[in-house]
Amino acid sequence: MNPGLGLAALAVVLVATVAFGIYGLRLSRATSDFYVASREVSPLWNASAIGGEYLSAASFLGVAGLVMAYGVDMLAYPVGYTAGYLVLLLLVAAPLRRSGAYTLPDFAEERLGSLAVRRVAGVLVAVIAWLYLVPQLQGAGLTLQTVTGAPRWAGAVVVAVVVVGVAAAGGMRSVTLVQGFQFWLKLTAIAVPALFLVMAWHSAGAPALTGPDIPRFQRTTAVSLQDPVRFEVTQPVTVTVSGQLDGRAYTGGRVLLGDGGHTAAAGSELTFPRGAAVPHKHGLTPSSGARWASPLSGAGGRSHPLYALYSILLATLLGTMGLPHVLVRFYTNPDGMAARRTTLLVLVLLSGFYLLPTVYGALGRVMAPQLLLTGQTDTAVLVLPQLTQAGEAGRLLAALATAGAFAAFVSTASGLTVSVAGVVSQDLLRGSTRGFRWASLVAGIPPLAMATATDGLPVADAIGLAFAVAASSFCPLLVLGIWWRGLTDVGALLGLVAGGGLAAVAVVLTSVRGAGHGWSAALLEQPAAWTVPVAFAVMIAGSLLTRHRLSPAAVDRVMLRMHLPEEVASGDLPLPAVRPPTAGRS
Amino acid sequence: MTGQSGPRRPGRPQPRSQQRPKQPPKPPKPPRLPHPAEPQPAPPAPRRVAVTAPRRHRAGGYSARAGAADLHAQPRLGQLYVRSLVRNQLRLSLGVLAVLAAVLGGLPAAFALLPGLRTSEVAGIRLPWVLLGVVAYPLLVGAAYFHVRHAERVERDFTDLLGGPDAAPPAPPRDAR
Repeated sequence: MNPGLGLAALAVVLVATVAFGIYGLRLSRATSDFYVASREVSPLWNASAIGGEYLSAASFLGVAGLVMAYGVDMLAYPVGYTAGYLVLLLLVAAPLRRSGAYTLPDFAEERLGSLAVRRVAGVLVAVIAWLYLVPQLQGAGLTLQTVTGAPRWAGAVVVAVVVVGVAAAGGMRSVTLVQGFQFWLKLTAIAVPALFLVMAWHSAGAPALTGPDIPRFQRTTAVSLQDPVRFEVTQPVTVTVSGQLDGRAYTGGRVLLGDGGHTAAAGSELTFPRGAAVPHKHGLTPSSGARWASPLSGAGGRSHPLYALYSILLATLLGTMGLPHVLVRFYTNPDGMAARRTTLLVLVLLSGFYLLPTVYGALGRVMAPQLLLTGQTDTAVLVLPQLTQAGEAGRLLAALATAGAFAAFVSTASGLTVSVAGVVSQDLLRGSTRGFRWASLVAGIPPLAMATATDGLPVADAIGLAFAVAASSFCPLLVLGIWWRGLTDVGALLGLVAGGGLAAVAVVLTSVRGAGHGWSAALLEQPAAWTVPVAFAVMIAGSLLTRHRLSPAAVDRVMLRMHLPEEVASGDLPLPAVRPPTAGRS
Repeated sequence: MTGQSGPRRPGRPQPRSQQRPKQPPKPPKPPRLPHPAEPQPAPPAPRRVAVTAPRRHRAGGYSARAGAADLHAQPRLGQLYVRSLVRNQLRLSLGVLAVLAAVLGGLPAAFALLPGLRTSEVAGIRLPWVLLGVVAYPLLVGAAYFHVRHAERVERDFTDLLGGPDAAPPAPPRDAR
């Protein structure tokens, strides 16, 4: 691509982020500023901030990549990401805001009065946030590599340093400003090139997407490989090669690639003639346009598509409410009613955004089919803009997309870092401002190590696993805690450990063995469909068995606080146990 | 004075949620029960004429504080109120959730059971793409809008019940004595 403009885009995003961070630092004084931005944020700005924080690498890059490779089934991800906010609105938003807890562990302790549950919740917050951070950092590495050819770890390190620095310097207030700005940057960065992309597709004669054939190169295409790639040829083709192919070095020689597997080394360049069938990376099954466009067809070689579809929907619908960086944002609303209205606004913003990645995923198959060969379909949103316009205009569009991608990594990673740092500093370092700064460091380093050490799943899939853990741990805790008087501390503890533990084990096994086939692989790759019911069942059964531990008076107090509208609850009589949230534990 | 939901909200179309049997109205009645034989209508009726609409923004008069204070002064009563509020909110949420589950959950099942749907087209685009890629989003926003409106209404009804003229429990007992 074009290193200069790409680096400039990256620099603009980072400088803007740091500038907002410094501005926030001047504003934030008390500890409560750090955690909840003093709850003085306007609804639209707050909704933009929630949207900005939520639209991560998975949304900006991953959805388009998965759609391109595996077809229409993958639209379950963006629909689920959005519907997750609806479920959050229905079941959690207002009562959680009124509960007056800052974080998920706070909620667990307030509702159940148990330090043990609080600690387990704290551990789960860290696990979910780290699982979520790893793909963000890997996405950053992939983006920087695509744009400048820098090694994979470089992008991850840049983003991690900026995020930890900003979080430690300014806390929540600066993060809120940064997030709001970054939502609109991301929307622009994906919307403007999408328009040009559709126009370019039309001017290319609107090649069919749903034809009976597998993808073919529309023109003579030089594919340069940044990583070693093993790919499968299904129709023999003569290519021009510079670099290493199948262990032999070439300098522009013509080679006939026969059926079967071939391996190209990093740095080599293969030039395919126009009309050649696109060889696919090993593990990705070529599928015809008709099959790719049809739901439940298992295009791309995914097994048990119906089960996977349901499991993805369940994980994203119920997982959203359990994401630590999403929840902490609700405390920036002044009251429960504002929390609801903000959520509605967030749904509108997200809906607008999620119309767009599909365009990239669909048109990518005809306009940049070489990504199916390199396996880097996650970079479709970065690569396509440049192909739509010749010369400088195309480069500018590509730079815009790069800026949007980095906005996505930085904003989500900031939110996660702040929420993990909040939990760590409150539980381990007694909530001082200095403790919060050290905790930011603790929050950022483990995922950086994981991101640079492993190669990783597709970005949206990896994030789906974080959703699955959240859906099978915090979702039952929140839903039962808010609506069911009978939840006991023992039941909650058992449910958190069972659901979160099983989902986490599935995640670890999946990352260790990679994608597989058959039922066992399907169950492990998309665990939510069975871990969520298990978590609910354990939590309910455990609570029913330990019913004697319930204290009706305490439960009444908490239920009153969570469900009573503020105008009623704010009487001048000091209500027992309704303390203003800012005076909480800080 | 007997029907709670009718006269409380004169100029407003009744939402569907209000047509269901309501539990909350029971508690405010007790003040009247000790005097069943007395000529009732005299003291309260003239006062009710003046009130034409429920109060939303309470700056004075019947303040919500009276209601909240009462809620805590009489724990049993407060418990009943809050339980009915929680029940109403939960019923609303579960209703919307059921629709969401039926629509989103039904879609894959429909594709699995009716293969014809997978390849049918709307305006030149495959139906599954239209449904999952475009139509789903306005539906989600619509459901959220519906819920926010009705959840706020449930809460307004609740605060009216506490602070409104026909429910303000602190005043009538003093008059009666």
